[in-house]
Amino acid sequence: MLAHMIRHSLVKSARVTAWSLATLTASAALATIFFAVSIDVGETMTRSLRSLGANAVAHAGQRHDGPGAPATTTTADWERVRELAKARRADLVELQLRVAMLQGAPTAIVTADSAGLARMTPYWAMNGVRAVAEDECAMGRKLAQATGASIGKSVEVHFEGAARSERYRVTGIFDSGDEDEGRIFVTRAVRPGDARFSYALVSVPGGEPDIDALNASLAAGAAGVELTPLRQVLHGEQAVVGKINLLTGITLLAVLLLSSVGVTAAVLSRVIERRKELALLQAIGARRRSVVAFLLSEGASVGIAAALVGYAVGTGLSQVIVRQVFGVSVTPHVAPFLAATVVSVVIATLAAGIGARRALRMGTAVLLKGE
Amino acid sequence: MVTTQAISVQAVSKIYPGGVHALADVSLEVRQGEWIAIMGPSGSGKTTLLSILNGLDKPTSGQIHVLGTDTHGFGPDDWAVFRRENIGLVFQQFHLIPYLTAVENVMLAQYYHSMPVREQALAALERVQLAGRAHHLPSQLSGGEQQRVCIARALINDPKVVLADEPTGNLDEENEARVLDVFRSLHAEGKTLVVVTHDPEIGCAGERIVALSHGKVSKDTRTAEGERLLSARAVTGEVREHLR
Ligand SMILES: Nc1ncnc2c1ncn2[C@@H]1O[C@H](COP(=O)(O)OP(=O)(O)OP(=O)(O)O)[C@@H](O)[C@H]1O
Ligand SMILES: [Mg+2]
Repeated sequence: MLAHMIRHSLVKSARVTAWSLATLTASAALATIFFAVSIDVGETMTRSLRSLGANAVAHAGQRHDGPGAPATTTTADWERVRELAKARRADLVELQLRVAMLQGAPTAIVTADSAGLARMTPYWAMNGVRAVAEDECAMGRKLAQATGASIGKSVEVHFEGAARSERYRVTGIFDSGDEDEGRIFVTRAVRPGDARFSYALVSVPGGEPDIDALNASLAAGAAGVELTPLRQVLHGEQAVVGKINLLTGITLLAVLLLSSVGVTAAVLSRVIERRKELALLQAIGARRRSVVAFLLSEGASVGIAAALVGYAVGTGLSQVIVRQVFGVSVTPHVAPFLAATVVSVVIATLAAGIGARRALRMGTAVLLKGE
Repeated sequence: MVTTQAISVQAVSKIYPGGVHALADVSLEVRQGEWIAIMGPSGSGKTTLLSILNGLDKPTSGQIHVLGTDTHGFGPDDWAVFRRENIGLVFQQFHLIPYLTAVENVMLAQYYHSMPVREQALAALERVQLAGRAHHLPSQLSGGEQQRVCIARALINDPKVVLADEPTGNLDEENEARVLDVFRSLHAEGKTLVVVTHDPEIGCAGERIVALSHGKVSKDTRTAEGERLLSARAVTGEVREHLR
C-alpha cells in the first residue's frame, strides 16, 4: 500500500518529482565523478600527471675509489641505465650537450630525439613547432632575444675545436621557465666524442620515493649515473593534485548545497500543496510518525533512483573527462557508488524531513475544514 | 453511570487565537446508538464542536469522554489511534486522496487501522452503491459519488461513532437521499451518529436536534422520529419486563 501510494503520489506531482530527480541525479553524478577521480589520486592522477613530463634528471655520478681518494666522475653506462629504468616503468630520454659559438658567445646545443623530448617537456610554451628534421632547431626565448633570431630564419653555430659549423633553421621559439631557454635543441645525431656530456630526462611513475628507489637500483646496478629529482616538478605535481582536489571538493560542496536548497524548496512547496492530504492521513488514523515515514520513504525512493542514474552518468562522464584531461581511464569503484547513493539519498530525505516537519506543524482541523 | 454515553461533553469552551469564543461552556451527552443532528447558524460553532469531538482540535477548557474514554491529555498520536479504532469521519469536502482510486482510498483507512483487504473495501463501496466505480479516481467521480466513497472509507473499520460535518452540503437531492439511506442503516445497526447539518430534513431524520447559537447550546429537542423511537423502546422495555 505504501509503495503504491508513493509511486502514485510521485507520478501525480510529476513536475516536482522530475525536478528533484534531475537535481539529485546531477548531484549524484558529480559526487561520482569527484570520488572516481580523486580516489586513486596517489596512483591514477600522479601517473596521469606524469604526462606533464620529466620529474628527474639522470647524469654521471661521483665515485670514491677508497677512503681519502679523490672523487672521480663515473662513465655513464646508458645501456644499463635504460634497462634499469625500463624495469621500473620509467620513461627515459637521452640528451647530448655540445658547446658551440653563436654570434661570438658560447651556446649549448642539445641533441635529443624529437618525440622523446616532446614527451619530457610538454610544459614548454612553444611558438611555432618543435624541430623534427636534421636541419631544424627549437630555440629558447632568452637566446632568441639575445641573438635576434626568429622563426623561419637560420642560425649558424661554430664548433671551435672541430673547426666546423652547422646551420639550423629555427622552427620554434619556446618558454620553459628554466635554463633551457638559453639553449638550442636539435635532432641531428652527434658524432661520437663530440658531446661535452650526456644526461637524460626521466619520468618516473609515482613520486619521490619511486625516484629514490630507481636511484638505488641504478647505484646497485653500477650504471654510473645518479638521479636528481626535479623538485619543482614534483612539488608542482603534488600541489596540482591537491589544488585540483580542493577545487573539485569546493565545487562539489557548493553544488550539493545548491541542490539541497533546490530540492528542499521543491519538496516544501509540494508539501504545502499537499497539506490537506497529509492532514487527512492523520484524520483517518495515521500517527505522525507514519506521515513522516511516508514522506521520508517518498524522498528516499527519489534519492535512490537518482543515485542509480547519477552513478551511471557520473561514471561515464568521469571516464570521458579523465581520458580527455589526463589521458588515462579510471577503474570503476564501489566508493563512488556509495558516495552517489549517500549524497542523493541524504539530500532527498533531508528535504523530505524538513517538509514533514513543516507538514506536521500545520493544524489538521483547520486544514480539513476549509474549502 | 449505568449506560456509558457514547459522547459526553462537559463545560467545553474553545477560544481561537485572536479571541474568538467559538464554543462557550457547552455540555452535551449522546447515548450509544443515538443519532443526533447539530444545527445552527453559520459561525455558531458546529464545526468547532465536531473537531473537538474527533480530536483534530483541542478545547480551551472542559472535558470530553468518547465511548467512556477520558480524552484529557490525549496527544495527536493518541487521537489518531483512537480515531482509527472508534470513529468514522465524513467531510463536506470529501477529502479523498486524488491519486488513489475509490477502492484504494477506502483501503487506505484499512491500512492505517490494520491491513488493507480489497474484498472488504469493495464490499463497503457496494454498500454505498458504488461497486461499479471502484476503480475510478476521485476526479472521475461526481460529488455525490465522492461523498459516498468518503462514507465507505469512514465505515470500513466498523467504527462505533460516526461524525459527519455537512455530509450533504454539496449534494443534490437524489444523492442526499442516498446518503440519508446509508445513515438510516447505520443507525439501525446501532452506531452513534453525530451529523452537523443546515438541512432540516436531515436534522429531522435523526432522533434529536441540538441547536447551537453563538457557541452555546440554545435548544436540545427530540424529533418526531425520536419520540417514536422512544416510545417504541419503552414498549419493548415493557414487553421485555412483561415476558420476564
Ligand atoms: N481557526 C480559527 N481561527 C479563528 N477563528 C475561527 C477559526 N475557526 C473558526 N473560527 C471562528 O469560530 C466561530 C465558529 O466557527 P465554526 O467553523 O465552528 O462555525 P460553524 O458553525 O461550523 O459555521 P458554518 O455553518 O459556516 O460551517 C466562527 O466565528 C469562526 O469565525
Ligand atoms: Mg462548519
